[in-house]
Amino acid sequence: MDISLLSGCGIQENFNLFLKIKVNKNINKMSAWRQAGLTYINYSNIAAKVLRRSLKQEFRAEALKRDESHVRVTPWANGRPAHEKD
Amino acid sequence: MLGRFGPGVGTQVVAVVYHQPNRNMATLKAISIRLKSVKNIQKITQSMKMVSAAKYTRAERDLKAARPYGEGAVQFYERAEVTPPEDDPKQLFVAMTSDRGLCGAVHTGVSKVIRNRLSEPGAENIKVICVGDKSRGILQRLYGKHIISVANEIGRLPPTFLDASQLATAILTSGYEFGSGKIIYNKFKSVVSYAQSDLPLYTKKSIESASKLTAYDSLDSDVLQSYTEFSLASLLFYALKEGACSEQSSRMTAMDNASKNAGEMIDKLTLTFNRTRQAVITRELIEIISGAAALD
Repeated sequence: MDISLLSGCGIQENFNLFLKIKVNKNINKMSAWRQAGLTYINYSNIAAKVLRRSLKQEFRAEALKRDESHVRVTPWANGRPAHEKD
Repeated sequence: MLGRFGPGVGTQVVAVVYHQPNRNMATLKAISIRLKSVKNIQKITQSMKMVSAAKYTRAERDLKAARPYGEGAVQFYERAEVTPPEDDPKQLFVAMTSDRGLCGAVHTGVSKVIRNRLSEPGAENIKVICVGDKSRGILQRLYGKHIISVANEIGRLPPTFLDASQLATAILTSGYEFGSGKIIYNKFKSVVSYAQSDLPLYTKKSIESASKLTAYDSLDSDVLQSYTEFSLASLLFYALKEGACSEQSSRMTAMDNASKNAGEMIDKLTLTFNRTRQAVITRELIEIISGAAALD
């Protein structure tokens, strides 16, 4: 919160502004990643990846095995794979 | 064969007795080639059975750990009494199969359920996502226009949650706005039996208009959005695990049957081989004796 912002308001407005900013901050906290374009699935997978990397040595190897994915998804259109040339 | 007894006797016999080999009794060489190849096949199917038995024990263990994810997600939908919307006819089917064959009727079972539904009237609004090349192969001929995505590289390794998340992300970003959906998969019942079953997929709109949603508290739009996405991924994960377990158990049974059939073929071929061998020996003896008698 900017101090200059607070000093410009009266006490009552201070309180209201404080509440508004606090409430906005809570909403922002949850949807910061949503606003960045991530889905909840992406968010929790990133958290899981960090958790796996922070495990102790004896548990790490087995957890890292769960960290890989080999699935390849291709979109189809009109009965054929959609060729998207990037 | 005739060379052993000297050219003189052989040519005489050939001149006198020209016999054609009986069409039903193949030559010894052909039978022995066939016998060797069937024995190889039996060895291969036996080793495939051992491999899939090992993979099955692991898959069953994983499935036991994954059950709470799937059953929890389904329970939420049941308790909140979520129903598919009447005004949105667009549906999404996910066919949960894999890339590998030689596993009995797992893939054809799932594909048959989807095929039957697509052949009924009102199928224009149904789109299909094929998880695994096998369902794609079965469905693409007649219902290729219904397929919007195909997922590869399933079945080689045990499925992870990351696989399910990739599938879920593909569904969410596919651009197909469906009102409700179903995951068609093989539910594992026991080592010898599995059956096709389905898991429901709902959108945020149908959940928000559910009648008993007030049974759950502290739900707002953000939380519901996140939960819808997570529940999609966890249902896909559960279906992947169940499908993998059913597939391994079915492959075990199929390879076991194949080894048994190969064993029966080997027995029959061995008998034929012995009979043919004795017939050849008898024929040789007859030729020698009749040749010797002709000399007298």
